[in-house]
This record gives sequence, C-alpha cells and structure tokens, in this order.
Amino acid sequence: MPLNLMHVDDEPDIREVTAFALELDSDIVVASYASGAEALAELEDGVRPDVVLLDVMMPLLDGPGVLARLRGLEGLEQAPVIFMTARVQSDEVERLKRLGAIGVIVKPFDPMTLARQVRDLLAEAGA
Amino acid sequence: MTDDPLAPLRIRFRARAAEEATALAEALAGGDAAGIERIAHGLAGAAGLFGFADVGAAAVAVDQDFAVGRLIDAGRVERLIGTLKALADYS
Repeated sequence: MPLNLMHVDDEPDIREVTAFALELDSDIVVASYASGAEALAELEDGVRPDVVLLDVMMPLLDGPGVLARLRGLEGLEQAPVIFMTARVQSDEVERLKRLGAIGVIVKPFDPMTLARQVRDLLAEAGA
Repeated sequence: MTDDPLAPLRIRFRARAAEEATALAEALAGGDAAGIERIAHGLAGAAGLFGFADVGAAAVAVDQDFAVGRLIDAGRVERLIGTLKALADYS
C-alpha cells in the first residue's frame, strides 16, 4: 500500500526537493501544493492523504492555520500532520507539537533521510 | 554531466541570488520588515538544502531575530546580502 502524502510549501525549490527526497522511498506518493488554500480546497473536495507535511510560515494561511481548518473536516480529525520549519527554537517546536502535530522536521533537511524521518514520526505516533 | 539530482535546482538557486540580494537591499532601505522576514525565512530553509552554508547561516541569523521578536539588525541583513552577492558572483 503506498503512503499518500500531501506536502504544502510556498517555496517552489523546497517543494521540488521534498518531492524528490520523499519519492526515493518508492512506496511514498507525494502531492505538492503551493499554498494552504490550495491544499484545503483539495481536502474539502474529499482528498484524504495518509499524512500531511505542512510548512509553518506561508503567506495568507500558515501551517497552523491549515491544521486548524483540516481538523474540522470529516475523516481528518486525527490525521497525522508533520510541520516543517526553519525555526529551530525548542519552545517553537513544542508549540507546534501542542497544536496537534505528530512531529516537526527542521529545514534544511537531509534529502537522503527525509522519507525515513517521516516514516519514523508516523511509527512513533502509531499512525 | 552530473549524477547529482539536485544540481539543476542548485544552479537555479544560484542564478536567483543576485535578485534576492537586490530585493533584500530594497526591503532594508524601505524598512519593509515583512519583506525582509519573508526573504530571509525562505533562504533559511532552502540555502542549506542546496549546500550554500554561508547564505543559509546568514539567513537563519536574520530569521531567528524575527522568531524571537528582536528588532531588525541591519548588520545581519547586510551580511546576508553580502553572502548572496558572493554566491551570485561565484562562477
């Protein structure tokens, strides 16, 4: 069974590298979105990814905003969400986890191990 | 020819460095804090990913100021502009 992953980041370079890095794991299928609004529109249309990878800082609708909205959609109340951020203070990481994310991946990440990081976070969360 | 799958993205990032430096200098001159934050934050995530450690470290320093609510440190922003110009000039 492939792992369907939704990735949301406003930086095109990051989207490309993330998709490349995750698809090194041949069982991960990545759908990339350039904004929270674009991703939410898909979710509202019934798309149900196995895991959502969200950039924290995006214009108009940031990662925490997307998380709050997706929790209100049927079938996504408990969906695993992982934040990605370049801000590494421990209180920021803790704040993001308290919002309901199963983990936080710090940018810049290692493209060769990103898929493993995602799978490890899912395993730790029992997802 | 290269086996590095990230090479095209790395080249594109380097080609954009001069543009980013100009945009950052304009934002600094205009006191556009949101603009500085947006550019620095983007660079903080992407530069390190492509192995441009100097740009990445300078961008993280600026981004961290915003993260903790410090006032803009013009010296840090100028250092970031300098690393971008150096990257753009590198051939």
